[in-house]
Amino acid sequence: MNGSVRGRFTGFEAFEGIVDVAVVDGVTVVRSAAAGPIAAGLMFRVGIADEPLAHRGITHLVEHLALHRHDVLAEHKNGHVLSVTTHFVVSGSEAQVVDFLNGVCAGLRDLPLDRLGAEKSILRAEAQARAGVAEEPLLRARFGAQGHAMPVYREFGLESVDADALAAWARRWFVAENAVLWLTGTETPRGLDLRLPSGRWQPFPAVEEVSRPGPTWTSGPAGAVAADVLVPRATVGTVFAEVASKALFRELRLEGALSYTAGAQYEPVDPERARILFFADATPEHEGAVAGAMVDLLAGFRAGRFHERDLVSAKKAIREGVDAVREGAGAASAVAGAYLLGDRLRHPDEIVSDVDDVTVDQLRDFAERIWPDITWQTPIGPLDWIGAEEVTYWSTDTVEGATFDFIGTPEHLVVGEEGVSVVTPDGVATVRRDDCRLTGVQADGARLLIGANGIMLAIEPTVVRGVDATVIDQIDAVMPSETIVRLPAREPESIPQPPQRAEPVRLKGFGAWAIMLAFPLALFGLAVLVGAIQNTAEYVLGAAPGTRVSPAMVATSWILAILMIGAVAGLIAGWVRRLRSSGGDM
Amino acid sequence: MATKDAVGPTVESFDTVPEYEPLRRALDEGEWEAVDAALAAWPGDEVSYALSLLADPDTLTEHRLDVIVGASSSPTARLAWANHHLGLAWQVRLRHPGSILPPDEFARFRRLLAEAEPVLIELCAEFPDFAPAWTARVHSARWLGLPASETRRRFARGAAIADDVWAAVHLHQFFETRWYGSADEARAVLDEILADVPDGSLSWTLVPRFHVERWAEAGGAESWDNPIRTDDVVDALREAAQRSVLHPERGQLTPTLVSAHNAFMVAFWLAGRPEEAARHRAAVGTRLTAPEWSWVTTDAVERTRIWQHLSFLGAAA
Repeated sequence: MNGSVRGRFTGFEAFEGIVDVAVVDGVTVVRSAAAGPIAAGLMFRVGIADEPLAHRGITHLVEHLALHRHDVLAEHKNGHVLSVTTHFVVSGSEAQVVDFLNGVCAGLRDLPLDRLGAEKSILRAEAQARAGVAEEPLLRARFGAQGHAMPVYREFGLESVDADALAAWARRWFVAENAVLWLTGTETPRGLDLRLPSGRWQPFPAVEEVSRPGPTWTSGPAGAVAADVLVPRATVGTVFAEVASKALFRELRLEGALSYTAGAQYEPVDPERARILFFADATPEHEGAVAGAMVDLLAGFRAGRFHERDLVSAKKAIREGVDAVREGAGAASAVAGAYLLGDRLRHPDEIVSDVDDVTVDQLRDFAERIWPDITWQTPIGPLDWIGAEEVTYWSTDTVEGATFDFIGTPEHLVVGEEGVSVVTPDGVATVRRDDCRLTGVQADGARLLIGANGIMLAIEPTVVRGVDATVIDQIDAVMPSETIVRLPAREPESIPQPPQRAEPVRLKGFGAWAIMLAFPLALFGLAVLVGAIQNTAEYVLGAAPGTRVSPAMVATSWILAILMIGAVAGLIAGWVRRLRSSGGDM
Repeated sequence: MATKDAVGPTVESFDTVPEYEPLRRALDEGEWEAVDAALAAWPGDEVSYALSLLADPDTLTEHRLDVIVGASSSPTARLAWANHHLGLAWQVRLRHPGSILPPDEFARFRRLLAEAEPVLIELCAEFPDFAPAWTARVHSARWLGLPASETRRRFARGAAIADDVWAAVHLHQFFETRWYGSADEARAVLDEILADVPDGSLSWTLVPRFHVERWAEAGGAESWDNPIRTDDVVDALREAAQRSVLHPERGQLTPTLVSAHNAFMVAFWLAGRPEEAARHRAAVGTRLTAPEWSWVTTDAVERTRIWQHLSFLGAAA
C-alpha cells in the first residue's frame, strides 16, 4: 500500500484490502477489483473554481483540446470540468481504455493549439445551448465573482485566452503530481502511457466568502426557490442535508404536488467547509407556496420537528451511497478523489456508524445554528417577513477622482486612481483596482467592471456626460491588465442611449377659451346685426319722427356686425381644429 | 327581549364580551396560566377571536401587554403578541385608508408585520397543530401581500387541523376585489371552502360577507336595485343561515357565533329584509360586532337606531 499522504488524506489506510495503489509514469493509480469491462477515470485537481474570472472557461478549453482526437459522442468516454476537478472517464475493453487514456495524456502533453479557434467556437455554441444555473443569485451573493461563484459567469476566457495562456494553464494544473487515475481491475493495463509534465499538487482553492450578517434574501429567476448555507464539514451536516432532501421531496412533491424537483445537497467547498443547497422548482402559480413551505420546513427543523420517515430514508440513502464505494469503481474513484483533493476519507463502516449515531437533538441544534447564515433566493419578492435582509451590492466608500454626471438620471460616475465608483441615490457601487476581477472592453467604448464581491459596473459613454476616450483609457490603465477581456461587439441597438427630451407638442387651433369667448361675442354680434338691419330699414323706409339715421351709421353697424360674425366664426373654427388635431381628447 | 335589551346595543371589545370575564380576571391578576387554562377548553376559532380582541392596540393596556410578554413560553401568549403587532401595523395602514402609504409609513407597516411573522413561523413550527397560529398566518399573508398559493397553503395547513371560520374569512378576503382578487375569484373560493365544511360550520358566514362585498361594489345604499335585494341572494342568505348560525347543532351563544349572527343581521338589513335581520338581532341581544356593522354605518347613533328598529320588529313578531 502506498503511504503517500497529502493534506488530510487517509484513504489508503481506510480502504486497505479494497483498493491498491500503483504509480505509472509518476501518476498515482488507484485500483479496485470489479467484474466486467474496465472503468477508469483520470482526474486532475483543477476546476471552474480555480479560474480567474477573466479566464473563465480556460479549463474547459484544455479539456476540449485534450479530447479533440476522440469521438466523445461515444457513451463510454468523455470529459467533465467540475467545480474543483477535471475528470476524463472511460469504460470498455483494456485496449479501449488504454487508447483513450493515452490519447488524453498525449493531448495534454502537446495541446493541439492550432485547434484553439475552432474549439472556442464550439464552446461558444455549447454555452448558448447550456441552461443557466438556477441558483446563480445565491452563488453570486455568497462568493461574489470568484471561486465557487464562477459557474454564474460566462466563459470570458473564450475571448481572452490565447495559446500562451492556455499552455501555461495546462503546465500548471495538468501535471502528473496533480493527477490521479482510478480504474477497476487488479492489474494496471499494459501499454498505458500516462506521461505528463512534472509539477506540483494543488490543494483546494481558498474559499472567499462575501461576509454579510444574515439571514439574507435575494431575488431569483421565476420557477426556482433555493437557499444555501456554508457549514463545517461533519457527519451531522451530511445527515441534515439528506433529511432535508427527503423532507422537501415528501412535502413539496409527494404531499403538496407543488414541485417536480425538490431536495438538498451537501457539497464540500474546501477541507473545512461544505455548502448545503436547498432547492425546489415551481410553476409560477406555486412559487409562493414553495417558498413558504421551505421556510416552514427549516423552521420546523429548528423546533426539532423531523419526520421519522425522513430520518429513516435519509440514513438508508447515505448507507446505500456508502455501500457503493465499498468496492469496484465506486471504491477506486472515491479513494482517488479524496487522494486528489487531499481530503479525509474514512472506512465505510466508520461512516455508517457515525451516521447512525446522529440524533434528532443534534439535527435540531444544527438547524438552529445554520438559520442565521442562510441566504434565500425566491422569485416572490421580499423575505423581510422571515427576518431576512436583502442582499445588496453596494460599497461602503467612493473612490476619489473626477466626477461625470449621467445624462437624464441622478447618478454620477467617479473615476480615480484607486478604481471606479457609480454613485446613485440608493447607494454607491465601487470596483477598486485591487478587487477588480474583470475589465470587459467593448469596441464601442463601454466598459464592464466586476469586483471580487460581485459588484458590476457598466460604464456606457453614451449615457455619461464627458466620458470620452481619454477617460476610458484612464479606466483601462487603472484596472489590472490581467483582468482585461475584449468582449464581442454589440448590436448598435443594444448600446444604451440617453433619454430623449420630449419636444413640446404644438397643438393647432384654439383651446376651450375660444368657445367661451365666442358665446358672448355671438350674443353681442347678434344684437349688432339686429341693430344694423334696423338702421338700414329706418334709413330706407324713412326715419321715425325725431330720429335721424345717417348712411355712416348704417355702414358702421354693418361693418361691426360683419366683424363680430367673422370673429365668432374664427373662434369656433379654431376650436374645431384643436379638437381634430388632439383626436377629440380634450 | 325588547324590554330586556332596552339599554341599547354594545359593540363588542375584549372588555365587554361576557365569556371573556375569566380571561380578563386572570390577565388583571397577571396569571397567563389561567388564561391558557380557560382558552384550552375553547375551539380554535374562539381562541383566535379572543386573542385578536385581546391584542387590539386600541384597548390593550400596558399591564396586560406586560403579562403577555412575560408568558413567552406560552403559544397563546406568543400568538397574542403577534396579533398585537399585526394590529399595530393595521393602525399604521388605517392612517391612509384607500390610498398608498408614504414610504416611511409603509416601511413602518412592513416592519411591524415583519416583527409578527417570525413569531408566527416559530409557533407553527413548534406547535404545528395549533390551528389559531395558522389562522393568524393566513391573515398576515394578506397584509404582507404574499402570493395566493402561499396564503392557500397556510389555510390548508390550518384547515387540516380544524374548521376555523376566521381562517376562511381571511382566505376569502384575500381573493376579494378589495385585496388581490375579483368577484369571480371570491365566488370560486367561497364555493371551494363551503364544499368542504359540514352543516353547522360558521364558515357559512362567508355567504353574507360575500354578498355584502357585492352590495358595496354595486353602489351600496345608493343603489336602489342592488343585487343583494334579489330573491336568489336572499335565498342564499337564508340557506347559509340555516346551515350555520341557525343550525340545530349550534348550542349556546359564543363570541364567534355573535359575530356570525351579526354578519347575517347586516346582510339581511342591507337586503331590505329587516324581519329576517331581526331574527339574528334577537339571537345576539345587545351584542353587536364592529367589523360587520362597519358595512352599514360606523355612526353609533345610526347603529342604535337600526338596532332599535330591529328590536321592535323582533318584539312584534
